[in-house]
Amino acid sequence: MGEGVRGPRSFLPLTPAVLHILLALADAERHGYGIMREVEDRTGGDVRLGPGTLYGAIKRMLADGLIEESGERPDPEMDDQRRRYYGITDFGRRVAGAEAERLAGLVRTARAKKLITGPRYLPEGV
Amino acid sequence: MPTQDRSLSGRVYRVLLMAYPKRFRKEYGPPMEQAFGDLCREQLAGAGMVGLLGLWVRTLLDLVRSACVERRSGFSRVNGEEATLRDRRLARAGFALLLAPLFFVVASLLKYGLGVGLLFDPLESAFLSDPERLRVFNVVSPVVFLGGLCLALALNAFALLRLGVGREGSAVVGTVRLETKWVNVAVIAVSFLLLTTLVGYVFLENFAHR
Repeated sequence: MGEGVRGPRSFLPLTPAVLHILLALADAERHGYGIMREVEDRTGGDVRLGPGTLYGAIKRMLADGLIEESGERPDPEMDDQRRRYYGITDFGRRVAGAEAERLAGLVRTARAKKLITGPRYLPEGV
Repeated sequence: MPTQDRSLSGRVYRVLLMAYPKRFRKEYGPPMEQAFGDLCREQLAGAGMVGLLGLWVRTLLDLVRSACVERRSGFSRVNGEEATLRDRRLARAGFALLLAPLFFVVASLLKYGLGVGLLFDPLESAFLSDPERLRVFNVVSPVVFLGGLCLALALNAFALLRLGVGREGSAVVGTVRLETKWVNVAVIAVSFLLLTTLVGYVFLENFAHR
């Protein structure tokens, strides 16, 4: 739906919840709790998505064509059949990429203006 | 004990999901319950009751915030089919509220304007001739007639008007969008006409010089 009507840049800036969900789904299909866990682990507990925020965002992302519900289950034997798995679409990948580039541009600007100087923020190899 | 706590939390959370719009709850309620159950299990296993308490605080905040977002998006997002159904329901409810005052006004006009008692005479014999029934009629009729008309007006005005408040720079800007849905417009027009007639009648009866 989103791809036919709107380009990736028209979705920017993404809300934090949408960006974190896209990042969580970038490398694997996951169910709701799996997305919550991945986000919390990746951010060291700084970002915790509640069920309401997560599924509200999922509803809108499905409508916009950023993610899709997956018919396949990674391991049906080991998993609850009621779980719904979600995966990122090609369009969602392009939107996430565009947002990452936008944020990288902001970081470059902040670094040029010496707002961030610590080693954690320096480019690799410096 | 932890299993009991988890299942009690799950039951309470299921009840709290009523805060979301019905359509959202139907679609996403079960996976939300399941995700919350997983979180409960994780917190109880890792941090016990303190962890579960912390989870509840975060979940309640999340629930209030996200339920407001879902309810607001239900109103503001133009979901054509759903909005049309709702507006038709409001028009039907408004029309039902109009019936009693419409009958009374038409019966009175026919009786006292044209001398035709076809509608008014049965009303008179049923309510107005007996003192006890007349007393009840005098108490109930203003509520049914005026209250019903005001409610019909309000419901159908809600169907036509879309109010919004937003920010433009440092200013707070209010917007009013008027939609042309003829069924609702018709109910409003008839309600307004009847209300004017009844209020005019009450005014003439009670305050005008004779």
